[in-house]
Amino acid sequence: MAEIAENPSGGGKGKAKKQSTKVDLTAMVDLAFLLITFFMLTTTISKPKAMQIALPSEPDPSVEQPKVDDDVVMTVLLAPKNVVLYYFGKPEDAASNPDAVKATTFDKTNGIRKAIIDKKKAVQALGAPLGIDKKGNNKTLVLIKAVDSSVYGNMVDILDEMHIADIKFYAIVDISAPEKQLVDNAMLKAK
Amino acid sequence: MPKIHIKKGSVSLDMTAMCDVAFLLLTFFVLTAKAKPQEPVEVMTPSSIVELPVPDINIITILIDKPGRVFIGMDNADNSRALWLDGMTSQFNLKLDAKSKSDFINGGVLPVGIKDLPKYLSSDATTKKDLVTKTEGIAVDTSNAPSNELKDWIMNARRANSKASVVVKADAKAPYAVIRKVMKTLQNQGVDRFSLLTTMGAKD
Repeated sequence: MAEIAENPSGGGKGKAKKQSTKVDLTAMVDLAFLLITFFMLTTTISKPKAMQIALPSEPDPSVEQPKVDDDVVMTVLLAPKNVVLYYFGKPEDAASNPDAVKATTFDKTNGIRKAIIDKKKAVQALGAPLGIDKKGNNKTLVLIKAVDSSVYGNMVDILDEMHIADIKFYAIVDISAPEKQLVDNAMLKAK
Repeated sequence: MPKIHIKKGSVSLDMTAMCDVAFLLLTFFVLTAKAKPQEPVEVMTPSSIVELPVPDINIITILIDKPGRVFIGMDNADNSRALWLDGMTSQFNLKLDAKSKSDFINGGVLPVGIKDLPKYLSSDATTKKDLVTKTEGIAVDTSNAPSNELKDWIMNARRANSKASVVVKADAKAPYAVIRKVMKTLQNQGVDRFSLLTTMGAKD
């Protein structure tokens, strides 16, 4: 197989001798597999995915903002080192009562996910109109606030948790000074 | 005991089928392969569970690397990069020669800010590399003042291509402070909706 049969010398009276038509393909196959390997390794199979995000536009001062009931509000504070703090209700109450602020992580079973789902269930239990709006949506409102020293990955993680827990209302808000203090205290305590 | 005779046979195989398969696969990979868009810095995007694909054209990409440097790029749909450059050069009173312009139009994400742009476009490959490692990226803050250079890039990009949507591609370890500034700038520019680029990963 590895040879191309040559014409026998002399050649007779126009009587074509049968030749082997086999060509050695080994080198070609080698090359083909080499190229396959190259293209396989350079192709990115998973295309990047996009997470849609909508920021609130600047509020119009002439229009009165709708009031939100404190019972449905949960505030999540993103701290450095993958620590997450959360509290329910008004920020003033949380600042005056340090026990109201709990620290947790992005753990899959016992982390922030459990806290969000528990809060959602509690709001659901309030029933309409307090906990459920006219369209039947759960009214839980999660406010996401991150300190400057936290990382972007954590923000994506918490947005992911919103998708997982199917929270309809959430917003990324600027952090306030008392809340920054809360984060600092929590980080000190962790040390 | 009789001796076992191993028959000496030909070791060559028929490779035709194997060759066919190899080239079939090769064709597949060649056709599906897409040139990776050139980016000045390496960015490891965080993973998420969302499954929305990113459009290929009409996107403004804002790149944020691990130390928090910001870069911007746009695809060249409808020749928008030329318009974009014209907008920027007239705003900053820059004069660029034809070669620099075509360099810019054929480029991807910009590795430098406006200050270093003429120098970058007119220099050779090694100087370019050097500039990229030293660059501080595009200046960004939360204001509408001239100190916020990203604002001008976004404004001119949106003027050049009104259909363009904004995609933020940031490193998972990028500091939130920079992300906040970029988001605020986008918000000030009236870009309330944008996408965050993530890789797909299972979370459960």
